[in-house]
Formats: sequence, C-alpha cells, structure tokens
Amino acid sequence: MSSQTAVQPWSAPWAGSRQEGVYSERIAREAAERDAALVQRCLQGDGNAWETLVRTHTRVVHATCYRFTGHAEDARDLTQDVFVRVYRGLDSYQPGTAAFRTWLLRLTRNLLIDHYRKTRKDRILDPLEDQASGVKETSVIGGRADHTLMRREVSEKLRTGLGRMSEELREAVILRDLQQMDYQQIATVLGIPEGTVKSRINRGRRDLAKHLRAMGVRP
Amino acid sequence: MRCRRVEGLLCDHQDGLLDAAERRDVEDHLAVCASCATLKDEMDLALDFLRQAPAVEFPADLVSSILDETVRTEPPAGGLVIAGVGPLGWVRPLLRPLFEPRLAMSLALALVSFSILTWSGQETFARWQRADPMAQVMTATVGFDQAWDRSVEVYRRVFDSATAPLAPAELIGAPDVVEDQADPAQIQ
Repeated sequence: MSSQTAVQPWSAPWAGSRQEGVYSERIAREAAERDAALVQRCLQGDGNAWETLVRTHTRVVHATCYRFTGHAEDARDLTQDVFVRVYRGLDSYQPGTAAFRTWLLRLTRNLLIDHYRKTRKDRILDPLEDQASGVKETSVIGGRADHTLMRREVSEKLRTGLGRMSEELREAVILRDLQQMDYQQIATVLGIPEGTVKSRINRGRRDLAKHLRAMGVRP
Repeated sequence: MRCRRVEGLLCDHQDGLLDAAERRDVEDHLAVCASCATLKDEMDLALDFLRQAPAVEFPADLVSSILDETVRTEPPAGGLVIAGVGPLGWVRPLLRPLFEPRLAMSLALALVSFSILTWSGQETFARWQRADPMAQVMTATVGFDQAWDRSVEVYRRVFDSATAPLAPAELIGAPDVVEDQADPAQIQ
C-alpha cells in the first residue's frame, strides 16, 4: 500500500470559485493520502495510527448516523458498530479504489440500511418526529439565547423533515447537503450511477421542502 | 430548453456546478416557466434550511468507548494491534479519558487557576513577611473599625427611613417634594 496511490479527491459542493475548488481538492487529496498512510501503519500493528484514524472520522460517521436515524442512542451504537466493522475489515480496504472516508461511509451506509430495515416495525409504532433527539448540536455563530433557540428549532425541524423522507432520498440529501460529498463520491457510497444520485438529490430537496412547508417553514 | 432537462440541471445549478452557457439557459427557462421556477424555489428552501443546520456534536466519551470496544474485538488477519494491547497496554485505556479534549481543557484551566492563586498567595504572604507585623495588625484593626462604623451608619439610615411616619402627601399619592430644593420665597 502506498501513500502515493491515486484516490478520489473531495470537493466542497458549493465551492465559491474555481480557485477555492482547487484548494479544497488539494486539501481533500492530502487528507486521503494521510488516511491511506494511517491504514498502512495500522496494518503494520501501530495502535496509535488506529486511534488517530478513529479520532479523525468519528465526527462524520456519528453525524451521518444521527442525521439518518434521528436518535442519539442509535447513532452512538451504530458509530461504534461501524468502527468495529472497520477494524475487522481494515485489511480488505483497497486505497486504489476509493478514499478511506468514502469506504468508511459506504460501510456506514450499509449498516444504516440494515438498521433501518430491522427497526421498520418500531418506527411505525414510535414515529421519529415525536421523540426528543438527545444529541447536542452546536451553533457556529454566536451564543445568544434567541439564536440558540432558533438553531434548536432548525435542528428539530430538520430532524423531523428528514425522518419523514424515504430512505433513499434521505441518504442522498444527507450525503450531499450535510456531509458535503460530491456526486461521484455519493455514487460510490450508494452504489448507483451519478445520474441517479442527481435525480435523488433533486427529489430529496423537493420532498424535504414539502415537509418543511408543512411544518410552517417559509423562505 | 425543455422542463425535463431543466429539472435535471437544477441540482447542479443550485450547487454552482454549471458552466456559463448552461447556467444562462437554465435561468432563461426559469424566467418564463412558472412551474420550473416554483420547483427551484422549493429546492432553494430546502437547501437554505440544510445550510443552517448546526453541526452535530458527538458524545465526549464516544472515541474512548470505540477504542475500548475494539480492544475487546478479535484482531483481523492483517495483524492490526490496537491501543491497549501489549505488556503495559492495560494502562492506556485508564489514562485515555485524560486526553479527551474537554477533560484536558478543564484540567489545563484548573491548573492555570491554581497557579494564579498560588502565585498571588505567595506575593501576599511575602508582603506580610516584609512588613512590620505590629503595623500590619494596626492597619487591619483601623480598617475593620472604619468598616464597622460605616455599616452601623448605613443600617441606622435604613432603619430610620423604614420606621419614619409617612407624610400626608405620600399617603394620597401626590407627587414627591424634593426636600433639598428650598423655596426661594422663604429664603427672602
């Protein structure tokens, strides 16, 4: 395994300019190379490399699980399961095919789908939107009480809106608009063509807007 | 450009991924097609809302519990050895919480506060040691006496104002009379 191996770069979906896009691609490429080197060190028996890998990617895995399930406890358990699976299957990761992060999110997605199917019956009895999330969400801007309240309201409405969407539209919107992945990365994670990804994102945004409007959200 | 084609490009249009010609075509179409414009407004609403979403904060002990969980997991064939395994490996999980960012930050703040208090205490003690002990005691006594007198005075004023009988004007809610302003006619 070599750190020079070509990997798919990341790019911010709404990069403001070509220069910013190139910059973010460079950062993404460097991050992917760093991950590949960490995986290599893990496979050589370096425990610190594993710890670094876990620390680096816990946030994105947990956020994906939380956005998808809408439950703090489920998100926590699923994040833990994902890393146990990664640990067991780390030797099967091939850096030439995708960035480690993409591979990790594909694994996360598969686990989420399994979880979604297993808990389908519970969800019918216990709808997502009636429960408290239990996860702390941080505001990037300011610390005023009214602002915090507004952010909390946004979080709750978003959680409810995402919870009302179909599984396939929800995952496309989460990966694109909350995890900021590009179409190609999403296509790799979901195992579908890029055109289908775009179509799902289109439909997902429309569907989410419909649910948000039903909750009183206006432009 | 047809509606179907525009619908397919709206996603790219929102994310700024269209080239100039395609963007112009889409915008021209949106200017004349009400249904596509409505569709775009809907998608804009969702996207704006998604962009306002605050970051999800994961539990502080999640990383530790993942690492602890993987300690208990059978290593893969590749020979991965994770933190916690080895001759003194059992010590690491015990120390790991100390390196969690929040706990580390709290410990650092506590250390800084303690250092300031210690330094400040040493300075005060050193000043006391340098000074004449009798003069220090006298200064403290005088300061205490003055503080006591001031407190008694304040208490006396509060007590007097609380127990003073109300003037008739106050009883009927007439506007307050400022006592300090003497009547010019009386002065003359």
